[in-house]
Amino acid sequence: MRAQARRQLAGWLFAAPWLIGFLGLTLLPLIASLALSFCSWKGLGLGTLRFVGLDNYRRLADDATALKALGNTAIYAFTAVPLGLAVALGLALLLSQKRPGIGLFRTLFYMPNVISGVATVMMWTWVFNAQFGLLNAALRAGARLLVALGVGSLTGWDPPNWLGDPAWTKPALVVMSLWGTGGAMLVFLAALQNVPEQLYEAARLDGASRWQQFRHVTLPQISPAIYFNLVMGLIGSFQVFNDAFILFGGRGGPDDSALFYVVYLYTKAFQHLEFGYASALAWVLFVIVLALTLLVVRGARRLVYYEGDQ
Amino acid sequence: MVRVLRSLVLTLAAAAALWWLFADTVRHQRGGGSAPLRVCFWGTFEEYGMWQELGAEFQRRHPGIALKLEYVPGGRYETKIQQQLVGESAPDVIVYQDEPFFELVDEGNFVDLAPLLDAERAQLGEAGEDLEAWLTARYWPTAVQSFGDRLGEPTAGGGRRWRQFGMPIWGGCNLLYANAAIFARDGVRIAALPAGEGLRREPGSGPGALRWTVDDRQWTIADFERLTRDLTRDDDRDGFIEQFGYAGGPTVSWLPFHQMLGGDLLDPTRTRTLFHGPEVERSLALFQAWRWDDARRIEPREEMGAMTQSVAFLCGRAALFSAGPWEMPFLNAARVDYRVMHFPRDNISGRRATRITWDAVAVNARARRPAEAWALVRFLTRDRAAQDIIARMQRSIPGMRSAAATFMAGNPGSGVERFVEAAGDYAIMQPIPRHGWVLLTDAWMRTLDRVRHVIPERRLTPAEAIGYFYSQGDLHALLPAADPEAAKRYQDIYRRSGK
Repeated sequence: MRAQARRQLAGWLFAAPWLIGFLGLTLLPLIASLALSFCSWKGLGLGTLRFVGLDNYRRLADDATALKALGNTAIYAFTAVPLGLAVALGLALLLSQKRPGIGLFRTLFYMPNVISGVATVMMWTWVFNAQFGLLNAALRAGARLLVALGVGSLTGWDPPNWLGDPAWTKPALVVMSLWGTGGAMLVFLAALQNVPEQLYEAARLDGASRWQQFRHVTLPQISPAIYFNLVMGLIGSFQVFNDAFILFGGRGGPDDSALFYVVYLYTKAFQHLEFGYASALAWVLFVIVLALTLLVVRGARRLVYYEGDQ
Repeated sequence: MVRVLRSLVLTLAAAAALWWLFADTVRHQRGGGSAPLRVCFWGTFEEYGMWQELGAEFQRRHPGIALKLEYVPGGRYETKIQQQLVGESAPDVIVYQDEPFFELVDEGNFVDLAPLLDAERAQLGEAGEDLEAWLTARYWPTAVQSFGDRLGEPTAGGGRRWRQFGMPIWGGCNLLYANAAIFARDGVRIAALPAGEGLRREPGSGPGALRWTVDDRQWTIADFERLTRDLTRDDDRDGFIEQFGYAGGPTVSWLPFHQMLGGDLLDPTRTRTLFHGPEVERSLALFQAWRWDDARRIEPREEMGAMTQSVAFLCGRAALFSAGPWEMPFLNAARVDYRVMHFPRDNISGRRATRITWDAVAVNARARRPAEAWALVRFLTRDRAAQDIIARMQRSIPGMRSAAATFMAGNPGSGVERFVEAAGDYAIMQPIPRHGWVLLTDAWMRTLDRVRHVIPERRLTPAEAIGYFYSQGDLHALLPAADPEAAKRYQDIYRRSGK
């Protein structure tokens, strides 16, 4: 009994650093932010703390800017996540082939994920520059080629003003998000390596085409990886902050077209010093992400295949 | 035996780890004799060097006070300090900017220095004067007012006692920087012209020949437009401009033009917004014209990409840009040859203006040894030796007026004395409200964005833009319109536009 108690104590002691961190740095702030969401607080001293009940939540329902930020975030999430999944899967399929030098390409495609986010965004500001940017230079060259081939005319055509035109800011951010698909690609790559070769062999013997093999063997086999990437992608894209914040200097871009929910939340908390309202914004985001995740989990029961399941 | 030894080693290791983790916190909480006096500041590498010099000089004068310089790296200094104040771990002495200063004062975070100043004045036998007058005789008036509180406490005689929450350490106003290499190549000379003449077209032509003489003490906005248009060049004629005459920008870069045209953002009480009338409409029209109507685009925006105005200036993409003296250490380190120029005058009123901004040193209300904290504030802001160190660094005009001579002597021939002239003659305090500076600048920036919107159908006329400014609900809940009727009229114009 004494030995068992000592073992238990040792277990608690080893877990203590994590437990202390979890309680002090996660759970406590979580509870504090929930409590703050029912208060008004400027964050400069406890003297300004005032209980306001549900006022912050009521205000959110009438806050056109918050609703616009939520709309922007939803558009971004529902565009960037499927597109990102498709690109990551496409890359993984290409990189899963056993060809000489494939390791180099895997490294190259994963590399953006280990490069500093700020440096990457600064690079993209130049890529997207309307006049001198690499992207528009390529578009102009392409357009000139088409004209030379006798297809269409350049009269009145200008490539997009990616960061200046409200219609193009979100597409620009979606394009930029594809730069970071290396993480999802790696998960797909690992999943593809685990698809049993005999399943393809059996499919080929049954006369399945390459598309049919992909549709009926690959996709069901890697569905847990798709599910994982989808959930992580959704959570991440609803919390998009860095790219938009750096690209537009902490503001929402032209006509607030790139004002994302978490950027707005940050502005309210740390620039306008409205910590109570910002906490309410954070909890509403939590509920939205939770609801979406539950929806995906529900869908996963029908669509995700786990070996050993009935 | 082994087990006992192992337990002992583990216990000692755990104790050492705990000591390493929490010793500083315990020391800080106790505020014992061994805890040093802490002062925090932000800045560039050069400014960090200046603080080392200031710290060493202070230690020479006060060997009994242990001083800890806390450099706050990166941006968002104010946010970091606010968080330290909330966590009750902020340094004893804090360098702070004027814009968000009173947000902290009103929450009781800074000590009122007036009694300490009064005690010092009594010692010097100078207590007869009003404190504000005494301070403004020694410091720049705008600097004193930026950190002083004229509302103060009521006195027995029915007046108000002046309160001073921060002592001005340094500051500066926006002026124009001219790239001397571009001016030489494009034939522009800065020199005095006869009274009433701000810009003269010279007969010379061809590369390097003198083509313009500009007298920046007299030139007008019309002169400025003529010159900057001429300096804007599309060398390879591909439709993209290689050199801009002027790289400006919104908010504080535009403020000098807005102020010289007679516009403002707040009423004199600084509690209500005042952003309408012909002056404001004229300011917005000019801002719009420089972006869109001018064939040569004086005021570039997205053409600069991620380039800041100072980078555009130093690499020769902009002949002129607007900034304060804080750009000088950067330009000096990059060995850019420049001349400081005054802003032009309004064509109609002949008025000159620019925005001036100040930083102060304040004592944290929770400072553990206020007397030592005051000794440091005194040294930094009242001691000529410290102010001379600051002046020599060329980052800012020193808060003490008498140290301005050292500032000017440090960079002869560059026109640096213009910063001092502007601070003394025509610089205007920024429109800083007591609360809501960020909301105000947000609204102002959004308004300027809409005035120069990239899509013509979304671009607002000046009157519509004023209506748009007055439609920012969050701002006006905090800072209501000084003239609600006028605000409503403009709001209707904006609403009717359907933009």
